[in-house]
Parts: sequence; structure tokens; C-alpha cells
Amino acid sequence: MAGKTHREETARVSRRGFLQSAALGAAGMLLAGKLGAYEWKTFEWREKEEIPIPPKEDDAITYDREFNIEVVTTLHELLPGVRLHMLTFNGQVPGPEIRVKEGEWVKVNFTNKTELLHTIHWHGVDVYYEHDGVPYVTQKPVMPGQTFVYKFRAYPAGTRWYHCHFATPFHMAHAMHGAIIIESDDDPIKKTFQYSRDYTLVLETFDSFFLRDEFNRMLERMKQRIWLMKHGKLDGRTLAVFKNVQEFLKAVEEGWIPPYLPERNQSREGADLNPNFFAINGKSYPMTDPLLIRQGETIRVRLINAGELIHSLHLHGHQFWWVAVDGNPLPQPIKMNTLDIAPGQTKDIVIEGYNPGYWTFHDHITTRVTNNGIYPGGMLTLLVYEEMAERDGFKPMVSLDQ
Amino acid sequence: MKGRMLMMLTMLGGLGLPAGMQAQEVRPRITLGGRGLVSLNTELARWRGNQETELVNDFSDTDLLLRLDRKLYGVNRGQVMGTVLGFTFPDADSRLGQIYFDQAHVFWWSQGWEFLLGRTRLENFVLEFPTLRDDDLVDYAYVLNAFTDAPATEYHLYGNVARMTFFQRQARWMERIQLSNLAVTDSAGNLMDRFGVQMASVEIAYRLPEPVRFTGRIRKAGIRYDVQRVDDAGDALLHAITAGLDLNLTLDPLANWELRLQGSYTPGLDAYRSATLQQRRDLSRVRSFAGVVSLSFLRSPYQVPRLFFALTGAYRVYPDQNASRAKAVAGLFYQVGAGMDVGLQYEYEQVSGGLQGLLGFEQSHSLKLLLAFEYETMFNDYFMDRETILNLEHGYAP
Ligand SMILES: [Cu+2]
Repeated sequence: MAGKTHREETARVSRRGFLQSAALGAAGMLLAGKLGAYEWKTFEWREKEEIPIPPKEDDAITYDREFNIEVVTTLHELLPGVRLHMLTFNGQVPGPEIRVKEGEWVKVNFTNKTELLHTIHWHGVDVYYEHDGVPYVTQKPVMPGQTFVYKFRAYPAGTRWYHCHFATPFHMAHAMHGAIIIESDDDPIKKTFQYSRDYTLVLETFDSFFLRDEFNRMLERMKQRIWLMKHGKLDGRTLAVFKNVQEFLKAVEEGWIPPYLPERNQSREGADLNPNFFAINGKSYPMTDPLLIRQGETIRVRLINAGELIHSLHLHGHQFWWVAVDGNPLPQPIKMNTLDIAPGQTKDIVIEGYNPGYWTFHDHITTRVTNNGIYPGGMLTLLVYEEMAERDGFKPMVSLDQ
Repeated sequence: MKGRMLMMLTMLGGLGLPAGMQAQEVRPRITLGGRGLVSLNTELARWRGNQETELVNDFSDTDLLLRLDRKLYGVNRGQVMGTVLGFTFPDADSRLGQIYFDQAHVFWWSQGWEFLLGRTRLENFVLEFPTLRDDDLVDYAYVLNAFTDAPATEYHLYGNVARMTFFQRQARWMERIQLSNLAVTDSAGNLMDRFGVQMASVEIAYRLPEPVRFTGRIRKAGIRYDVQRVDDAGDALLHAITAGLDLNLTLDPLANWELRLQGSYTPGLDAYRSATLQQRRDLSRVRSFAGVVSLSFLRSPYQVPRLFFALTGAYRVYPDQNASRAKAVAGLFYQVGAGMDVGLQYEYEQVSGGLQGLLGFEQSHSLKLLLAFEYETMFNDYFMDRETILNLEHGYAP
């Protein structure tokens, strides 16, 4: 799985879904008729789980799943002509989707193949704190060339994600983010809706100018620091890292200038992000992958906001069920057509195929349905009824400037 | 030649495009840069000359630069064209007036090449040396303009050029060819309108681009050849060959020692084989050897540059005239804030042989106390320069 591209994964899911939904046939039609008649399989949290501590020795337990993730610098094409240098997991935007079963022991070999520092934070997963990936808080950052092994038992089930936690506004928003889907046999969403296809949409925002400037600035600084590190000359004050607040105060007293002061901060804008590109799974409209559905089919869509902005996602022509937030099922599904999602959040929805056509699904904060300020583009994709496309050919045209 | 570049630009503007063909306005990237550089100069002592000890408030080399550039059409080609306009305040004794336009050119670049047309620095050297002002070592480190007797050092530093530079292997290798229209003056030092090509140059060099300047021992190793066609001396060719080596003695970015070495030789013009040194331009026309060596140290605690000092020695000998000159420059600069320096530079120069009569002194000591303010700010910064780490090492996508 780790080596597979997101596109391959999506294609695999789509093919399987196509076969299943084709087999559904008349039964699927029947389901569509019973709109709103679901019985929500009651969902209860188990007793508070004790978080198991991964043993230090490698062979003390058997790991059910093992993944290799490398951070590399990739020239990623968001759109024809828009190629951005990005920090990526395994060269993919977003990173590879990790799918495990609840309760499985997971081992992730994380190797840093860049000249910058990184970690992985498992967002929304109850890991032992030493594997939470917050640099200088729970672990030392992973240095260039180093490998760090993250170990945890997958819990709780649901749509969760992972991202780099070093220089977060820069690295996470760059492309160091990906989905970790923890599956459960007791999933009330699966039990209730019997969906046949399962999509993951990672929502992204990119400030191409900031990414480029900050990336160059960091690389120049780090090339020098790597030499200093090798020769034992890299001290805390150069890195702006201190043992504790007292040490920091002492440094300031002795004339060390904190990097946030205007006399020291020479960058023009700092982390003043102003995204000009918006994407779903590493592509901006019209290059986004459509959501495929058939009449009578039910699909699940997992939304992960890996960017810096709140989005307000609207689906045309349908009422969908909002079923989970931050990976956790809601007490009761809610019927809606516009769903907001904050940075860091995940939200799951279920779409029933009862209104054949081509329907846009997009951020209703319409400034994000743009490419570098030109509408339409950005965070927009289509819900496509496959049988229509098969019968009449794909009808929608591509418009780039309205 | 005055304003010729500007006239050309105006003409281009005048040609214009028919109204219907003008594209929608694409704002250029705007870079504003320059420096305020003021020094108090005092000549401590001067022997055998018209000795006058005076305190001069010198603001030459203060300059202002405006660069405008845009990306060209084409999705992935990554080409950029732009223009630079700059002016500086020349030396009081240069007779250039209040303002000198040192930059007025158009450039066009892509990953592997850069073309430049118009007024800019001649770059008639392999290495630049770390002294207070660009012209402190003009008589030692530059291939001098053989067509001027004027006191203005600007005529040796700047010219109108057509320059093509090629870059390979992450821009570590560069080759350059350049045709230059130099300032030509009459014997009284007044500028004459001469539009031809007076100088042709080629250079080949290995170099470290600025963002990776600490990653290797050799910052620059280059060799160049310059030839000037001197038509007032029997249409003869004046050759010069220059080689330079700039070394990182330490790769430590916090305490960086750097050594620069440059040597040059010109065989002179045959007609000047037994000439005596009577005019300034004779200095560039007779046979001479020159060498410059400089040791410098930059201390950057926490990767913030703070202290810089440099010791530079230069020598030029005119063997056919039995004359020579030598100069030592010691500078100490302290950065009091980002791009703001206070500094002190001491200079000693000694001349011998027929040079004493021409230059009017035998030895001189001087001290300069400096305040400098440098700035660069960019507006609408929407593309990436050619020599950034990302473009050099991770695929070209400006
Ligand atoms: Cu990172």
C-alpha cells in the first residue's frame, strides 16, 4: 500500500465499487426508494481503552502491518503549467493512504531523505505519547538521512490522518499529509448504509509563493546547519531550541536576539499565508478526480481538511448524510447539502445515488474555487453517474475562465 | 553615447503594439535595491605630491536600483525578461556630474543562459575584492578601459554591453562572451560619441552559486581573455588575460575564512613598448603584470553576519617603464543591524618609477570611516530566480 499512488488506490477502489454496484442491480434501485428510512445502528464507545506502550525491542511483539514512508522533495504538477516543489511522503500528493484494522499493531519506518527536519504526527489516533511526533516535545526531530520507527496500535476506528509536525505551517501545508483509515467490523456507518464505494478526499490549500520562498530559505539555512551538526558546532541558540524557558530567558539576557523580533526577522512575510491554489487529492479543478456513483448506489466520502482554511462543501442535486466527525460516528446522522470543515478536522458523509446527472461538489467559499485567482478551478470536483457517462459519453466541458 | 540606451528603450516604446494586440496587464515583479554609503575620508599623509590633508565627506557608490521583470508566455519554459535602471553618485572629481546612470539594460534568462543588453558593470575581472568601494582596486584588479584619460573610474567599471552567459551543472559552470562599447574620451577627458565595439571578452569559470556558497572549497575558479581594438595607435589589438581563484578556507558558515587570488597579464601595444607614462590611458596600453591577494573573515554568530574584516594586497608592475605600484587595504566592518554597517578602512599606496610624475605622489595613507545602509525589497514576487536551491537542485520550475 505504501508504494501505491493515490490515483492507483482510487482506481482500485473504483473498479471494485463498479463490480459491486453492478451486482446490486435491482436491489440498489429499491434502496433509493427507501430514502430516509434507515435505522441508525446504535453506536457506543467501548470502555476507555488503555493505550498500550509499544515495546522498545523490535521483536517483543508481532506487528500486523508495516509501512515505509520516505519524505522526499518532489516537483508536483497541480495543474498543467503549475509545478511546485513540494515536500512529500513517497513522492505523492497527498501521501499514501494507510488502511489498517482497528486493534492492529502498526509499524511505520519513516526515513528523511531531505535536507530539512521532519516528524510524523498521527492526527486523531490514540498513540503512546512518544510516538505522537511533536518535535522537541515528544521526540527529537528526524534529521536528514535518519529513520524513525513509529509504532502504535490502531485505535480508534474512523477517518484519521497524519502530517509532518515540524515547521507545521510550512511542511504540513506543503504536501506532508495523508489519510490513515482505521477500519472496524463494527462500523455503524457501514452497517447502516451498506455503501459500496469508499472515497477519501484530502482538501488542500497552497500558497505557491510562500512555499517557494520558505523552502529556499530553509534549504539555504539547513545546508549550513548540516555542516555545523557534523562538526559538533550546532548549538541550541543557532537552532533557537532551549532546554527550558529559563535557558531561553538567559540567552535573551545575554544578547541573543529571538528570531521573531523585527530586527532579526528579515523574511518579507513570515508565515502570512495567502493561498492561491486549492486542491483535492493533489489536483486542482479541472484536474481533480470525479466521484463515481451509479443510480441506486450508496457511497461514503471521507473528507480530510489538511489545509489552512475552513471549507464549506456543497453538493448539488442531493441531500447527503453527515455521519462522522474527526473519525467518530455522530450520535445520529444528519441530512444536509452544505458541510463546513475546519483545518485539521475530518468529516464523513454518505451520498445516495438517486438523482442521475453530473453534479458539482465544491467549496462554497467560492474564492477557493479558483486557480491563482481565476474562476473556476481549485476545490471543485464532480459527482458523476457512471451509467450516463457510459451511455452518452462524458458530457461536461472544461471551462477555465469565466 | 549619452542616454543611448534610454533612447533605444524609448524607441521600442514608441513602436508599441496596435491597441487591439495589447494583452491584459500583467504586473511585473518589482525589486528595489541599493545602498546608502557615506564615508569620512582623510588623507593621513602624502609624500612628494601636492600634499593637502583634508576631510572629505564621500557619498560616492550610493546607489539606487530598480528591476522590473516578468515571465514570458509558455507554460513550462520558465523564461524571464526584465529591465534594470540604476544610478549612482560619482566621485566629486570624476566630472560626471551629480548622477551617473550605471545601469540601464534589458535582460532575458532561462535555466541555462542569460542574455543582457545595455549599460551595466563590465565585469572585466574574474574576482571582486572585499573593499569598501568598487573602485578601490581599479588599477589592480580590472582590465582597464584603454580609451579614456578621464579621472572617472566609472569609465572602467561600466559600459554598454551585449553579454551572453551559459550555465551548466546546477550553474556551477559558466561561459560568457561579451561585446562592450566603452566610454571613449578625448585627451581632455571629455566623452566622445563612439558607438562601436571597443572590447570583446570571453570567460570560463567554475563557481558556487550564492545560496550554496559554503558547500565547497572553490567558490570561483575562472579565466578570462579581453581584447580591445585600439584604432588611434595603428589599429592594434590590446590583449589581457586574467585568472582568479576564490577559496573557502573554512567551510564553517559561522566563522568563514576566505582567500582570493587573481593575476593578470597584458602584453601591451607594440607602439607603447618604449613609451613613457604620460597620460592615464598609457597605464592600460603598456605591458604589465598585476596580482591581487585578499584574506577575509566573516563571523556570523547564530547564522547572522556580524563582523567582517579583510586584508588585501595588490601589485602591478610595468616592466618596460621600470615602474610599479602597490596597494594595501585593510577593512573592518561591523554589522549593527540587518544590512547596516559601520566600518573602518585603511589604505596605503606606493608608486615608483615614472608613475610618480603621472599620479603626483609617491606614497599615501588614508583612512575612511563608513556608515552603510543596504536594502532590497521585492513586490509582486511571483516567480523564482534561476539560482535558487530549488531551481538548481530539485528541478527547474521558476
Ligand atoms: Cu516536515
